[in-house]
Amino acid sequence: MTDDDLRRAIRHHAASGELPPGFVETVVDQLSERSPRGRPPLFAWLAGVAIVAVLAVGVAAWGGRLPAGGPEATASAGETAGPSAAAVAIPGVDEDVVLSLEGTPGGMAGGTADNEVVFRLTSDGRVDYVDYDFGVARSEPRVAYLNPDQVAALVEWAIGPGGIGEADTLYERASRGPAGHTVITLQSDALTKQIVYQLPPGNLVTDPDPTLGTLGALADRLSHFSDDVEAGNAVGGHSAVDDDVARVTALSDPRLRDVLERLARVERVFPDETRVGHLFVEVSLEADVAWPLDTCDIDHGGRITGAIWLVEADERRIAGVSPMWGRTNCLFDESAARWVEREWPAYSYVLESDCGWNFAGRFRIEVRDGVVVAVDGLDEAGNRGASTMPLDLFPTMAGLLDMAADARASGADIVNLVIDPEDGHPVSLEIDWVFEAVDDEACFAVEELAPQP
Amino acid sequence: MGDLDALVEEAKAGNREAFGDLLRMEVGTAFRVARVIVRTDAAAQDAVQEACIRAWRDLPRLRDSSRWAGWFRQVVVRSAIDEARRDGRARRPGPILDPVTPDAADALARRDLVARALAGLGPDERALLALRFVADLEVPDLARTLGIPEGTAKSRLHRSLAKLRTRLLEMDR
Repeated sequence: MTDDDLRRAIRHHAASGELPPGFVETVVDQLSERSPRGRPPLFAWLAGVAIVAVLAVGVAAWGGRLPAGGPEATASAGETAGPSAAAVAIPGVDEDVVLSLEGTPGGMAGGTADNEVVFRLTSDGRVDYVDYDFGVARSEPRVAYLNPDQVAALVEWAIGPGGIGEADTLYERASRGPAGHTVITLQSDALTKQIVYQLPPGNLVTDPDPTLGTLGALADRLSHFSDDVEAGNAVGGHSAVDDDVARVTALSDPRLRDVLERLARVERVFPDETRVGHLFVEVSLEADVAWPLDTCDIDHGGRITGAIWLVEADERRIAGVSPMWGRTNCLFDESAARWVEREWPAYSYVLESDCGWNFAGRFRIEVRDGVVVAVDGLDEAGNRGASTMPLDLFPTMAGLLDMAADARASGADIVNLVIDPEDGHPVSLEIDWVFEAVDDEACFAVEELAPQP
Repeated sequence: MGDLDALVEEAKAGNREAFGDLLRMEVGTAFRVARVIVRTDAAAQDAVQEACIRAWRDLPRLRDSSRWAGWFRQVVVRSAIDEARRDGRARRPGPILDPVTPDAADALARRDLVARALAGLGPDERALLALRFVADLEVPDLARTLGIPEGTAKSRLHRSLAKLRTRLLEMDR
């Protein structure tokens, strides 16, 4: 049976059914109204704009109550939500809810209604939020906070009687509150749920933590984080369930460190509950920061000039740019030591592949002039793979690095690349293209790299 | 291309008729791709419908209008894979009807085998095969659609085809 036979058979199978007449018309009729702007592009962060990137606030307490009157009522101002001790499941919430705060003239810094803070409430009770704008310059970075009681009240209201669970659209988003106030509106359709609620301006504050300082100061603090976690005094982690996955890569590029030391300010640091050893760090960049490393165009506008940082406690690997959503993963893949394939005209190494549905097994791979010329299996699975797979499917060192770069450029949910500091060769590579997908991962470990005569 | 740009921009602005026109360009192929991934007409229809709703929601994030087809295909594939996984549901292959091919009996038998053989593959594997052989994507486009490196796409395609062939041969015995 040839490939062509298979191709034709698959095509025939695919063509053996068809959509019912009028399918498109029916679908179009069912579409909900969409704000002309749609969900705004998170990373429409344009050069020249001061940026604060904020990620993931856990909310521990959910006991608050909204005053009678629903959305018109307000909560107390100015309090800051701290990191939570543990995520709390919210009964009745089985999907993400988007909380959207929309600025009003005089309400949020900058005096423009185009500033927004989007909160995302996830079903495990976490609130992610991010501050961004549509290219309207603001005078200074801001961080928006809700205290836990406020969030709890919103949640309760949202899922309670008359809330999201019952209505398609309760409030239109077009309404704006009085000057000095922020309006939050509840919207709901099949896929998007937004809550808009009126809050006094004090909820949106310029409030960097003066004790955090620069990355260097942060690093000092982080150096104790592992101990704290081990001692049970801290929790940490990162949730990759949402598409706002922080990606991990090496932070060894001195140019990046330079930017962070001079131009970036750490606003807040807080642990995530789902992955021990990880922290979220909010970083604000000063206006007109030009990212010195690779930036990349993203699907929904702008070039990335800001960053959300995921920091591992041990400092060996510190994160890179991480959109809250969207698939772009503009991580820098620079390393202090760079692998240069041509400086290794002949070498061998042992490759272990042990996850996902790529070839599994342990192999000894021989490379000459940048091309794999021999593969031997070192275990049963390796023997099988070595005897059945074409040589060009086995990676060279450069191939592994390309794989990591491709995965990042392709928006893989997780790309974990560890590089040898001496010569820049990949030591391990973990890729998960779609976090929730099963078996699409790739895990490689490299050992015994040695030049050959 | 000018027409496409205009349609995309109008659809972004909330024009449903324009969005409908965009959908009409793609739903046929989308359905066939989805059908391979989810394996039944009903599930494929669900997947395409879900993709249409997602596309409507996310269209404002499509920056380059010329990428509409590939972008929508990507949404369809993700919806179909989601549908297949959500299902997990061992839906039986749908009815095998195709009056078009001249070698109908042979093709029918072959397709029935194919439908059953495809059932033994994972949704990701079926997505690869559908994009390659139904949507006629070359490996680079296929990789881009699935968001995986070309080398990975190539190796997975190789493995998926081998797996399908093995299953077909086993069933044909």
